[in-house]
Amino acid sequence: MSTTDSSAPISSAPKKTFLERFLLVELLKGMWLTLKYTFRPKVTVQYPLERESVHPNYRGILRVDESTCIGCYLCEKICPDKCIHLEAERGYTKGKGGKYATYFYIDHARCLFCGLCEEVCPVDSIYHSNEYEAAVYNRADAVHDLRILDSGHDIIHYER
Amino acid sequence: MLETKEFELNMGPQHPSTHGVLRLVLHLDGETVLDVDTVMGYLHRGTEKLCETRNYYQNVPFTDRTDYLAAPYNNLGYVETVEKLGGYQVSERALYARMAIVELSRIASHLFWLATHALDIGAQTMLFWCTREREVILDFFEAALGDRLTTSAFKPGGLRRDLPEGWVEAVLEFCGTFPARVEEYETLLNANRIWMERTVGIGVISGEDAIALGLSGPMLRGSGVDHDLRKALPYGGYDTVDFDVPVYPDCDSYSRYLVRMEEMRQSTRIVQQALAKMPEGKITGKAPKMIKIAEGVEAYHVVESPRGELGYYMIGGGKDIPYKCKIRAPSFCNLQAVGPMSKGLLIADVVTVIGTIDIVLGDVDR
Repeated sequence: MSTTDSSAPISSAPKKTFLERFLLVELLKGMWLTLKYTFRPKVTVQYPLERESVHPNYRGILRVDESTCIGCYLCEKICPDKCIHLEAERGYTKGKGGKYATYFYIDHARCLFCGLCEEVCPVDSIYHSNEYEAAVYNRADAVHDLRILDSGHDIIHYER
Repeated sequence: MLETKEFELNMGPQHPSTHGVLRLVLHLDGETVLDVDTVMGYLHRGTEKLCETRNYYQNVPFTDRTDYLAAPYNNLGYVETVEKLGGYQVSERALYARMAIVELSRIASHLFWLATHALDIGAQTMLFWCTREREVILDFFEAALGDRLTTSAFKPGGLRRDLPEGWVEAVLEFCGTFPARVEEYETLLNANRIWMERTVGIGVISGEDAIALGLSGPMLRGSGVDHDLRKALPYGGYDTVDFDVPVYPDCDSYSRYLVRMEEMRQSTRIVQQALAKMPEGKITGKAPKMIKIAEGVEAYHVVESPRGELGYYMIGGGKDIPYKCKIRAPSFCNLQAVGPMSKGLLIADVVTVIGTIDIVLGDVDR
């Protein structure tokens, strides 16, 4: 670590001649640059009318595949803010034996979207979908039960 | 005789140029600032205490939420501290992938700093141009890490998953075009008369004062102190790449602006070198599924985040949760300078001073 002598005023700001000051050269240069951008194609997306697709790796709203879940509680255990709740029972359902989830709730209002549950799931039953429109009118709607988790919720699409 | 009295004015917590919920109590004489008191804690979420109740893997998402504009850097600081505690090895591929990702996050953070700082001072074009480039970087994060802002990118030992196909080529293409964009920003700002009026000679803090206050990052390098943790205490493979540390001696907002612009160029160079050096192989690492650190084992690790020295001090708790996790937040320490820097300035210049410190309130309050 070394300090330079701060008493000597060395300015890094560009020096301008009188003519440059008088003719506003730097202002005109900037104006010319922004003018050129006026004729280039737009990069913005008109969101509710047009949607950009997200990458498959994107961590969106959580979904659970009911038929593969083995009710091992690992996702409930790893969740940092305890937004996953499930109950499992031993029995025979949907053509397979062993444990299955009888109820499964995920509170998306608390979810961090960190992807830890997806990582620990031994049968890839719980996963982050690519849906990202999770806004709801009241808090109770943010809690998804097994039916919604399995088949997805209705997204109200904006129409003109 | 008319009497004059010191006038107190509250700035914030809902002021748009305080970049979050920061309250400043300005002591004024007319329009001249005599002193500034900072009132913090509006965004306190108790991250450090939360970390004492969750295990080492569960804590990674919490570190995102401290400095949310450069989330991968917070992940890196935390994850490297855990690796130091447990003595875990990082694979070569993960090392360079991490370096590329955190340097991209530095670019994204500086871009957003430039956008908001210029907007506060009155240059609106920068907001649109900088967010345009930042959007591209966030798309890279979305593809490689899974999320755009709160990435939860790393885990002890490596990365969560391998980089997607074509990612490296796309990043290298961006790095090829990005320096030309920085040139465009400089065309608009460097010699601009309004920009110079608002930044040259505003928010002066000398190198000695900067060290005494514990400032770090661009705040220190803009005051002529050549100190960068990537060079001083190399971590995460930074000693194998070639880059320059920009230092400007003017101690004002303008020189800090120049430091950050140059850092964006240097970060581009680091990304290119890191991706060229990245070998094939396993990226997920060798840390155990349940990390247990013995009681009393402690480690302090610092990284050079876009805002300065970001440190994590952790003590093992015997079980799978840490006994203590203290975060040394760069924004918190840098914010101390707001008083000394804005003494004698006008109210409008306090906005410049807050902007030039580059605070993130999530990082200040944690």
